[in-house]
Amino acid sequence: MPEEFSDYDLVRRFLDGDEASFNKLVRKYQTKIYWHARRMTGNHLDADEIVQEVLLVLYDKLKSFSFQSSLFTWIYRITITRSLNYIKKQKVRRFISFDSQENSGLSTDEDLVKNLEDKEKLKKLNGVLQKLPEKQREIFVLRHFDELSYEEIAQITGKSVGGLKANYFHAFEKVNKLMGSEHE
Amino acid sequence: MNKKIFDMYDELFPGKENLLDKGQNTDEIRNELKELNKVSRELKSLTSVTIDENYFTTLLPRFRELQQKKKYQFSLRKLVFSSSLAFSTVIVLLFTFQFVQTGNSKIEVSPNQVTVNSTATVPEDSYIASADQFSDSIVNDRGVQREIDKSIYQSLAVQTEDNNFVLIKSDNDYDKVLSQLDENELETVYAQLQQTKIL
Repeated sequence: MPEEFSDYDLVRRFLDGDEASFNKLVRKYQTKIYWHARRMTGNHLDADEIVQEVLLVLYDKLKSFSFQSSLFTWIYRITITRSLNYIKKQKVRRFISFDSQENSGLSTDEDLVKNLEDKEKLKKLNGVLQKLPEKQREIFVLRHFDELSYEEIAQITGKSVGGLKANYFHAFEKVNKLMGSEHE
Repeated sequence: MNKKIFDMYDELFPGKENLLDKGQNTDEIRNELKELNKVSRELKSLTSVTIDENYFTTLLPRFRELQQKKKYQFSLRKLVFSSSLAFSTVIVLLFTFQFVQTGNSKIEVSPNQVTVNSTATVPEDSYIASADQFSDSIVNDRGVQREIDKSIYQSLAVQTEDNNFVLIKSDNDYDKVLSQLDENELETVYAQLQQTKIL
């Protein structure tokens, strides 16, 4: 059975020059990073680009990580910042190139979801999530899909628990309506 | 949607959905909680998809590849920047030397010698010719060449333990030596060049 290391141990070992520890950290968090980015952007290619960016930042900045917060919170912070920045950049790119949102980042061949039925499911989910404003989407994804507590989300986003609760309520209300309209 | 009922639901969520039917809840509250739970479950069901695990197994190798590419681009940019900086430094130093030489030659003029300063009447070509002459004299000046070469040799020899300096006779030799240095050595050479006073 492989030896289990805590995040702290893995970071320490990585800083001592053990590259394999970085790989272990990546394997531990890659799925969470990917799905957060995917739910935020709504497609595989953009999510993949964000994952690569997050890993680059992680690799470069780990030496300055001081363990004042948990590594998990820190990785999430990097992921949400990168995701929001990426979405902003895409908006500008789309504005300049007059490209439609539907055409961006969609490639049927390069998706990690191959099954047609599953693709439809994600399309439906994406249709709902993309109608939420980015910040609200971020909170909704963190709470509903990543299942983080309000305290954890507050640590990641720097917002108050009360504000987050109110935001989540509004987001849920919108999602509820959108899901209803999808059925009609 | 009732905020209070939603907060109740939100406290139960996730994992305590089985408590929805218990407690002192009225029918209205219970129905709304059930409705919220239904939406939540439906949303969750949209995310339960089968994925190609190959993506996550190839993620790390792809990241390492990207990392190498970025590292290479960065060093190339750094090399171009540092060599252009070193080149401009040499040019500035040459001009400074030219200026100093001009000052010195003025002092060497004998006070008895009558010089007619007719700047306005001297044709433009002769300025260009004299400037070329100065450049040539600087480039051909053995003293200056010796100092520049010495400084470069010393910089290049920083990494060698013995003091056998590399003999550089041409630009090709210089390029050959540069191509053999790794990133750290190049940085040391460049730092040494910057610190060396040629004149």
